[in-house]
This record gives sequence, structure tokens and C-alpha cells, in this order.
Amino acid sequence: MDIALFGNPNTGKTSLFNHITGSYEYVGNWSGVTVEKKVGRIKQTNRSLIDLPGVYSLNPLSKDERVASLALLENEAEQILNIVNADQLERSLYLTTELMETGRPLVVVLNMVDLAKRHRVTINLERLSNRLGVKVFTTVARKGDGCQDLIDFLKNEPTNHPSSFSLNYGEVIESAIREMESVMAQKGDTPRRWMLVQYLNDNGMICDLLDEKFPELRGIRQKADEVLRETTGKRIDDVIYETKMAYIRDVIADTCVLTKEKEVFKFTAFIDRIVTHRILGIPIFLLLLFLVFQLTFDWLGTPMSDLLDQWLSGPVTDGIQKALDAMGAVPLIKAVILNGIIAGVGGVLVFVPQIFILFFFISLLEDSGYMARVAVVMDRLMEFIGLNGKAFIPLVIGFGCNVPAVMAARTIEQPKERLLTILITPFMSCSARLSVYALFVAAFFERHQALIVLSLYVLGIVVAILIAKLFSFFLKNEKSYFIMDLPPYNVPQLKSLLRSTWDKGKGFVRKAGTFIFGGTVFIWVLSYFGPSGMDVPIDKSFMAIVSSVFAPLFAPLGFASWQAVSALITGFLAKEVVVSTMNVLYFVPKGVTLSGLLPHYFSPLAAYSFLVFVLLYTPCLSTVAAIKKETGSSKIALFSIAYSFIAAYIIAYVVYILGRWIF
Amino acid sequence: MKLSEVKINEKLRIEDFGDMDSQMRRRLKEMGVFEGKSVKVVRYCPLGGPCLLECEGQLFGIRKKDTLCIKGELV
Amino acid sequence: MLISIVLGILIFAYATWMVISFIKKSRQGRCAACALKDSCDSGCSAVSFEERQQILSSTTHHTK
Repeated sequence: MDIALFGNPNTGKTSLFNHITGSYEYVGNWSGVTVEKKVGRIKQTNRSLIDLPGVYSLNPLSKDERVASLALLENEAEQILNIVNADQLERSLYLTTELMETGRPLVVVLNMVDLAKRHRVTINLERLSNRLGVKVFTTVARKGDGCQDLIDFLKNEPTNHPSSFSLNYGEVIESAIREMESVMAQKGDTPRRWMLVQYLNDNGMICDLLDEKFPELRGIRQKADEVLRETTGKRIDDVIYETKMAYIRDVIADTCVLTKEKEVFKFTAFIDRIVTHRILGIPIFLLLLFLVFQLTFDWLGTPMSDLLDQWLSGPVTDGIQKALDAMGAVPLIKAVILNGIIAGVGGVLVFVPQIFILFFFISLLEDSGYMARVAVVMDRLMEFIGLNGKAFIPLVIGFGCNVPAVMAARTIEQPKERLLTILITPFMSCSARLSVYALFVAAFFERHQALIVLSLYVLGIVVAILIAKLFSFFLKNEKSYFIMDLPPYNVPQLKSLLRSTWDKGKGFVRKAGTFIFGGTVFIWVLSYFGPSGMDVPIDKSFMAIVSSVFAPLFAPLGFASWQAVSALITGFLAKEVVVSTMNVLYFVPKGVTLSGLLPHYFSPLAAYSFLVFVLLYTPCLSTVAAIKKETGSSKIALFSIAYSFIAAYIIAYVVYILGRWIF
Repeated sequence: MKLSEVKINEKLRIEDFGDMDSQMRRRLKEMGVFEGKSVKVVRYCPLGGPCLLECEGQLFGIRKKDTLCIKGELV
Repeated sequence: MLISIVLGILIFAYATWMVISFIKKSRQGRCAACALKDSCDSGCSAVSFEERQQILSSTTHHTK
């Protein structure tokens, strides 16, 4: 039997899911992060738990919210686990009443009871359970409190008592429902009351569904609506809403004691006074980013990766070389291992410390609840470019990896805004590009590493904004709206922070061992062989010959060397490959690092122009595929390749020209 | 009185959503903000940016143009 | 010499396999190719893309 997890956004759904299914998944403390279902197995059982995107009701506004309502329609959610925010009972129970109406067996989990306690709310569990007619559990999912009780319950008891919950919506609506039921019954369909209530409540998805089969229903709804307007002056959906709310208020009055008026927690209010400050809001966001980069590069990351580099290029290389000599390996094998794999894969691996430090801080920002504030602070700017503040969240996810960011755009309600967001997301500088920056800033901008990297991140955001503005002229205008829920701040828990850092970072390490390894070997092959055979001078290799054809194209940008061009070509597969390609192609003599060697090939300005180009040019293969899947259009995917290449070329050119003019 | 005229830290009891976009209004209702509720203005963002509101201990942000639609009485 | 051949086969076979499987995964799109696939919350799931498409398209011809 499948159990589906329903609940409002920001109620700790994903935390609960992780605790009771045993698998660890990362918790984003902002609204609407789960955009698709996730299935896990409940600990100690063989039952599946489906985690659905957070919804406020069964009436979906965005693409990700549809998934939750569909799970009910498709009978995937045979049983329901409804997570309720104990601290916001009234609005959380709205979804609960809608779910109870479906008649599915349901268990309520009161989460965040610790917050409710801090707000001095006392809930009589037994009475709540009696009033709702369902089993009620309490948890603090962030800490895992109460989860074992829930698992024990799910393990032992079949939760298959269908709920017989039903509300009386008054004579007009009830008779409309009866009339609709008889229409459907005549056509041989078993009507489901909850669907009819949703239909009358103007649930777009259900209306589409029923109108197609039963065109008569529209007239019945219209009539009921007119009667209600005449007699009460209210719209039909308002009457349904008020009936539910009256019931909920009654339940709450019966089961809860609130000893004082609720206020925003002092700590949250205090932090918000600073970070959403009228003028300082955006500068504080940039300052935080700068601090993160300062830690990632200057203060912690670079010293660590230098040590790693010395260790790899010193003892490790020597050791392997000796071992190969002892085994009597042929020169070809020695070359592929030493100049190919160790140079290429090692060159990427030395940036592991930086990546992990960056991910640690991104996790920290996410987990604390700050991102929702950034969405608010950014909304004005986003509105100007035809987007809304919510679009900033996929963009920030893009700092980690562009693929999930493209998918996170599903939380955006308007199709036009969603498309725009998908198109500009690849300009967000992902962690793979970070390894390229790390290499170059260490070589050229040792004094101002964090500042240079920050400038690239900001440039990515600025270009994304300008391009979105440009595109918004060509896309049909739609009504845009913005509501952002701001959850209270959490003091992040070190354990979950470390785990989510590790979860994000391990992908980088794994990729180095798998794809980067494979790619590096092939790049090495192309640089080792040439038309005249093997072990040719690198300038006469296949790689050099092919890349040289394209190299002149990049002369205006300041970097026409064939090695740089090869790195860009192979970088289309994955941007880390830029680093490994350079490590393979620039012959690094013993005792020198690639960053020590690069200044012979690039001027600092050309290096910066190269970084700008790497930041903006063609999204990597995985991102292009994600764009294609999410938009359902190969044309848009091809377009995103073409326009970002052009944008990268123009902007890198402008940077180079301006730079030459200034310096 | 319109919500947009309410000063920071003052509370408005909502009486009417005026001609607010129906989807926007629905979402607000689902978030527990409806006629009869009191909302406190926490902050106005600069340059006509969003307005931060509080309703029963819950913080949320909506756009300035939507605060023009909401009418009610100061409490 | 023998050791060179063994090493060579291992390296090149592994490299080829990795490149092919990466490109395959990337073309699938979605999360399969993403570095964050096990950790990110924004879309990865055990539900295959085809399954999702099926679910989404079935709204229009719903019979239950």
C-alpha cells in the first residue's frame, strides 16, 4: 500500500520523509523545493512513501502543485499522511479538510510542535483526534523527535479506515452536488463527492477533467453561483471556503489554547530587520556572497588545495612513476597515466576543498530560511525584467548545478515566467565553473581572488537579468503575481548541514573519478596522436590541428591559443573538463604547477576575458538536455546553445576591449 | 482604508479584497489571509518593491500593487 | 610488457565506458546526469521521466 505525504510548503515534509524512510535527502528551507514526487521505503516495512510537492490546497496554481493533486486523482495516494504545521494550525487544516473529503484513510502528523510551544499554543491531541476522526501524531521532524512512534504505527497498523468526513455546504450547494451526481450516475460514472466540491470550488484541473465528459455540469455550477450571489451576495467558492474555515475554527476552539497573541519570533524579526532592510537588503546579500567566496578562496580553500596540489604533483606522481618504472611499463602507458590521468583528473580534484567549502555555505544559507528573504528583496528587480522574486530561487539553486535549477523553475506559476527562468538559469555560475575560476584566480589574481570570483557571479546575474529583459519584449505578457511565504529562521543543525554538504560535494568527486577520467583519457589520446603517428609534438597532434581551425575566432577576445580553444570545446560536455583539458595540453614541467605556467600563455586581461567566456558560453550537455526535457522543445534547447554562445562572445569581447582601454 | 496606506507596525483588519486577481486572492485565502483577519505591515521594500506582512505570527511578502486592492480598518 | 597491455586495456576500457555512459545519461536529461542528483530536492526522484509524462498526460483522458 502506498502512502502519500501531503502538506503545506515549509512544514518540514521533506525532513519527515527523510526520517521515516531512512534515505537522506536534502532539506531546502524555502517554498516549493520538491517539484516532483519522490518515493522512499518506510523504515522497517516494505511500504512506499511518496513525497509530494508542498501545496496549500488541492487546487493547483503551478506545474509542481499539479503533481500533488494528480496523485489523488490517479489513486496513487491510496493512503494519506498529512503533515500539519502545529504552529499554523488554521491554515494547515484547510488542506486537511480537503484531503479528508476525499475519503482516503488519513493520518495527521502535527509537526513543529516545538514552535507551537514557543508560541504558547497548547493542543489537546486526544480531542483533536476525536474531532477530526483520524489518528494524530506529534513530531519535530527537523530533529527526528516523534518519528519512531510514527514508524511503529505505520509498521503495525493498517491505516485503511476510510474517512467518512463530509461538510454541509448549505442547501444551494448541496442540491447542486446532488444534481451533478445524478447527471454523472446516468452516464454510468460513480461520482466522487470531493471532486464535485472541488469542481464547484473552481479547481481548474478538475473542471477541465469533468467538463470534457459532462458538459452539463457547467450549467449547474453557474446556476448555483447565481442563486448564491442573489441570496447571500457571495461567490460559490467563498461559501465553500467559509464553510471549511468555520469548521476549522470550531475544531481549533475546541482543542487548542492560545495563551497570548501570536507574534513573529523575536529572533526572526530581528534578523529580518537587517537582511530585508529597505536599502541594505541587496548589498547585504552581495556582502554575504563575498564573505562566502573570501572563505572559499583566500582564507580556507586555496591554502588547502595548494597543499593537496603539492602532495599530488610531488609524492604521488613520484611514487606512481617509480612503480611504473619498476613494472617496466611502456612509454605509452606511462604517458597516459602521468600526463593524462594524473594531470587531468588530479587537476580537477585539487579543487575539492573549495567546492566543499562553497557547498557548506550554500547549505547554510538554504537551511536557515534566508533564501525566501532574498526572493522578496529581489522581487522588485525581477518584476522589472518580467519575472517574479520566486524565480530567484531556481537561480540560486543554479549556483550549485544548473540541471536541478532548470527543473526547479516548475514552481513558477506563469508559463512565460517559467520559460524565461529556464532560459537564463545557465548564466548562473555552477560549481563546475568554480574549478575553472579557482585555477585562474590562483594564477593571475592572487591578491583579489574572492573579489574576482564575486565579480563573475554578479556578472552572471546581471547578464541573466539583461537577457531576460530583452526576451520579455518578445514574449506575450501575462499577469504576474507574487506571494512569498517567509518561514521562521532555523538555527541550522551541524549534522544535517554536514550531510547536505557532503551530498552535494560527493557528486563532484564521483564525476572526477568517472566522466572526467574518461574524458581526460580521450583528450590525452587526441593530444598524443597526430597524422604522423604517436607521441608527436603536441602542436602536431589531432587536438591541435582541429582546435587551430577555430582558434582565430577567439583572437578578438584575447585568447587565440589552440589549447584554450580545445578546453572550450571539450568543456561543452562538462565545465570541469576545461580544467582537465588545460592540465593535459599545457605541458607542466616537474616542480611547476599549471597556475604557475598559465601566465606565459595569457595576459591577466585575457585570462579574465576567458573566465567571462567560460561563465556565459553554451550550457553543458546535461543542462541542455534538461532544458529540452522541461520545455519539451528541441528548438528552445538549440536556441539556448546558440544565444548563450553569442552573448558570451559579445560580452567577453566588450570586457577585453574595455580592459585594454582602461589598463 | 487601503493596506498600502497603512504605516509600518500598524494593523489592518481586512474587509475586502477589492478587484485583486482571483488566483492571487485564492492563494492568500489558502495561506489563511481572508476577510476578518488582521495583518500587520512589517516593511515596505524600496522602489515600489514588495511589502512584508504578518498575519498571526506568519510572515509573508506580496507586491505593492496587491496591497492597493486590500481594504479594511485599522485596529 | 604484459603489465602494460593489462593496464592499457583497463584504462581505455574504463574511459570509454565512462564517456559513453555519461553521454547517455546526459541525453536522458533530468537528474540522471546531475552532480547533485542524490542530494537536491528540486526534482530528482525515483519516478522515471516516462512515468511522469504518463501521469501528466493522463489528466486529459481520465476515467476513474
